[in-house]
Amino acid sequence: MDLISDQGLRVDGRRAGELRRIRCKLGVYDQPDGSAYLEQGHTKVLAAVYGPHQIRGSRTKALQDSVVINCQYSMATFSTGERKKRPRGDRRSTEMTMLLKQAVSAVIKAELYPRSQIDVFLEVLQADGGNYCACVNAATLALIDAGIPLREYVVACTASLANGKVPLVDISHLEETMGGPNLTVAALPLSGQIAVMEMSQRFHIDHLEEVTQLALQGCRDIYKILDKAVKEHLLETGDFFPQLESN
Amino acid sequence: MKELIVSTCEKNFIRQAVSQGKRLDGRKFDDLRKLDIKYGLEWGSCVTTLGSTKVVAQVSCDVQVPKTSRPNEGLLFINVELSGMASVHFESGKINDAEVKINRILEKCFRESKCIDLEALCIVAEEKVWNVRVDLNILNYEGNVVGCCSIAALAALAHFRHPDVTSTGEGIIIHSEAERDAIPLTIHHYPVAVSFALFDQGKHIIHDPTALEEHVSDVQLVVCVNSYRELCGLYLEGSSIKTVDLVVRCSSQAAKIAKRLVDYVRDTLQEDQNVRNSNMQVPGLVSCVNEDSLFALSQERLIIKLTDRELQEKIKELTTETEEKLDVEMKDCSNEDMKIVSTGPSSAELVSNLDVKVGLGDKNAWMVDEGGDYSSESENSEVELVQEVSRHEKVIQLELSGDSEEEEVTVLKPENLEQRDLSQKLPKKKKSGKK
Amino acid sequence: MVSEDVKVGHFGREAIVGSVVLPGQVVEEASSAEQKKVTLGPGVERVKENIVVCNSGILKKSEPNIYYVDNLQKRYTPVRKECVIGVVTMKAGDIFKIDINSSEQASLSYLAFENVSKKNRPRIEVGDLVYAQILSASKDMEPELVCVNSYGKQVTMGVLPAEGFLFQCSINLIRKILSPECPLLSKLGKRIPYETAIGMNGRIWIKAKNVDATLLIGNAILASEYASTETINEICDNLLKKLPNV
Repeated sequence: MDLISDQGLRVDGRRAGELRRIRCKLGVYDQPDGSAYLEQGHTKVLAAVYGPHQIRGSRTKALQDSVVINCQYSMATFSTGERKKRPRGDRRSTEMTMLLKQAVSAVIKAELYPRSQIDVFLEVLQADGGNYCACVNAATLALIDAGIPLREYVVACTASLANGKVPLVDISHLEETMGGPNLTVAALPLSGQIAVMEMSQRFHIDHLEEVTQLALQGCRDIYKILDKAVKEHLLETGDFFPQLESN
Repeated sequence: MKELIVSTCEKNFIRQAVSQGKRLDGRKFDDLRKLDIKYGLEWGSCVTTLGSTKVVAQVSCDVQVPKTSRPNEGLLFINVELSGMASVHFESGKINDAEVKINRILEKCFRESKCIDLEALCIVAEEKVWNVRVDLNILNYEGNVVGCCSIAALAALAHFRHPDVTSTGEGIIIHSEAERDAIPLTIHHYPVAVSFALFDQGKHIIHDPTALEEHVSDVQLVVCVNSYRELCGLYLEGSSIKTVDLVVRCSSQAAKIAKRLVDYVRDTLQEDQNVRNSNMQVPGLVSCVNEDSLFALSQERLIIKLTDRELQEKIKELTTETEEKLDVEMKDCSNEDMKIVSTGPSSAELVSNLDVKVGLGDKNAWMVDEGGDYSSESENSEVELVQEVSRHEKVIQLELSGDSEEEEVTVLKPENLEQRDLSQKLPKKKKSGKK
Repeated sequence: MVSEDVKVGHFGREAIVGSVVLPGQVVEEASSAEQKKVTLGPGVERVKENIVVCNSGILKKSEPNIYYVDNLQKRYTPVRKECVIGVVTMKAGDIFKIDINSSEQASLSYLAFENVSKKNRPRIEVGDLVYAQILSASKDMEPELVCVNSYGKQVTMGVLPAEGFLFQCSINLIRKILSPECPLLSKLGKRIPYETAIGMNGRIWIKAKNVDATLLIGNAILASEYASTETINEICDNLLKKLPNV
């Protein structure tokens, strides 16, 4: 099966540079300080943010001049095709947790809350490729919902190379496993800085630049979508008070 | 995991030195530390030393049921152990972040890039396949552990051979080494991980950082490349970097370095092969532990070195020479020398300091750069030395005779030159009963 | 190899002064009844009626009747009145927690400086280097440091400036270069102006004009670990000759 047909269509009917459909909602739960639900194609993730609050556990973990960011990435047992035995604690999840923490630390203004802790919990409900990206995007939304001051949005996107020459953006699970290389980039779209970059499988160095640029473009597009969603959410929740006054 | 305690002063100094283009141990920004690979007796075991970082790798295999999603392929599992032995701030038992990071990078580098032909490891489809397991133990953590581990894993995998197997109707027979020769793994390409430390928003890129440099740097970047300039894995960590351009530049640099490293690994493999073929005593890992001297395994404690290589050699020469003449004098104590103050019954304090002349063993020949000709880094003066020698020998050949040039080349190789010098100074020791 | 002056080959029960000793050997001459008062230094211990060696090294004796073992060590054991270089790891209330490369972190009160009071605190941040004297060191409690002497004057102690470089070495190297016969520091100082603080816990801080000079001095110090006095002179001469522009 070709990753990209002669007419330029991918397996799921998208073009090479098209993103999957993104739907998101902020403030889905009332217990956490901030929460968000995001769907990217068939991948569905939930994010919950608690904080900033006092350091839990040992006091010695407290940092003198910045906040401690605690991330947890967990995949529900029903999220993959075969039932997942360990939702968290295996190597891949620990790696995802570390990368998530790095992406989130790049945007949180850590010096505002010394000796405190911010928790970010991610749960993947359905995994269809691009899990990490959906998690990062959902985490951004949840942080905005929690009202934690951020430098910028942090947005992540994947890119790949089909048949060794055509770059694809936002790859699904099928495209991942069919053996193509896989580049994940988490970036700050407005300033163009890269927070996390991670790659597996193999492709020639000469293609690195164009694949990265495509991923960054994907990040910028996702940013526009997320920004629109946040504005809508603020409009909905913000309008509540004027209505009260008019009554 | 306890954090490495680094003072502000050290951080400032390293940043200042880097901005002036200098490193603490006198290397250039893209110089590797001394790389050394020693293979063991068994197939697939090796000890890799990169400067002070030491890693032991061992490849083993057994027969298992394949994965249901891939019934025709063998299994490859890579395991890295980073315990408290490597450095005081790693706790044994609990999985720490650094261990996971190294594990994942190596998995991407070797398993996901498909460098080993797994289909060749299939014995009976859907029932029995070879499960190849690479175990790496990090013995000393002194920077660029990922690079060292990847070289160790690559060397071990390339060195490894699994037993030959024939399938009868009902089952399989695994032949021992005596019956049939073991079969090496089929390796499609040779990937290595190259690590960089970036300072000052990417203005200065350092290759093969030491632990202190890694800790002080802004961004740490690991690029896995193979000798065909294909990227097998990439890992960026630290504060954000501004441009993609930087990553691309590092990747091309990494490709050059990777080529050198892979060539070096191939050379050592070839040499080991020659030793085994020639029926000489295979030294195995015992050569790492030279019984003739007290300091066989200790590394030099010179963490800072000067760039002038001749100067370093001179210092080494001086200390080597005089060690033979060292004697321990029992200082006949006069009051002004030692101020040992007794502070109470049965206790005293060594408040002042006596001239300590300790008797030591000889400096081990293993420590002085005898492996220098195999190192892949190019230190200028060493390169010049080689060139001078070869020019000299060519002149001789022209004058004397034109036959058997190659023999004469071997006579004047730099290793022989060094050994000759050393033998004048150090007493030659008889090596007894090496296994 | 070790010369004939040191008796090495004998590793029996008896420990001989001036030779290499192993833990468990008994110092016979100290255990015999003639000596009235025997003082034991680091490395020897009294077990019932015998004096037993606990560290391996060279057994030395000083007048009158003081025995000690000179051994190689990287980790520091705090001893009262020694000056050490520490790294500030934490500020906790009234004290600073300082790492001095020993079994426990030491504590330094913020009042242990000159010209400070409760309202006027010293300017110290986490990560700074301090040169302090050990006030009390017992095995049951964490060591205490002070930056003033008993007259209340700071003298040479206090916070070290943030320039310069810190590196670690073994404890015996420190003792060696601080000995009055060792010409290293003074010889280097005649040619290259530099500032240094040498902590008995195996840490040395150097500050010179530029990065090159600092590295040169550090290199010279580390290279003299196994060198005798004459060799040290030669090393210095060579170094200074080769790099005259420093």
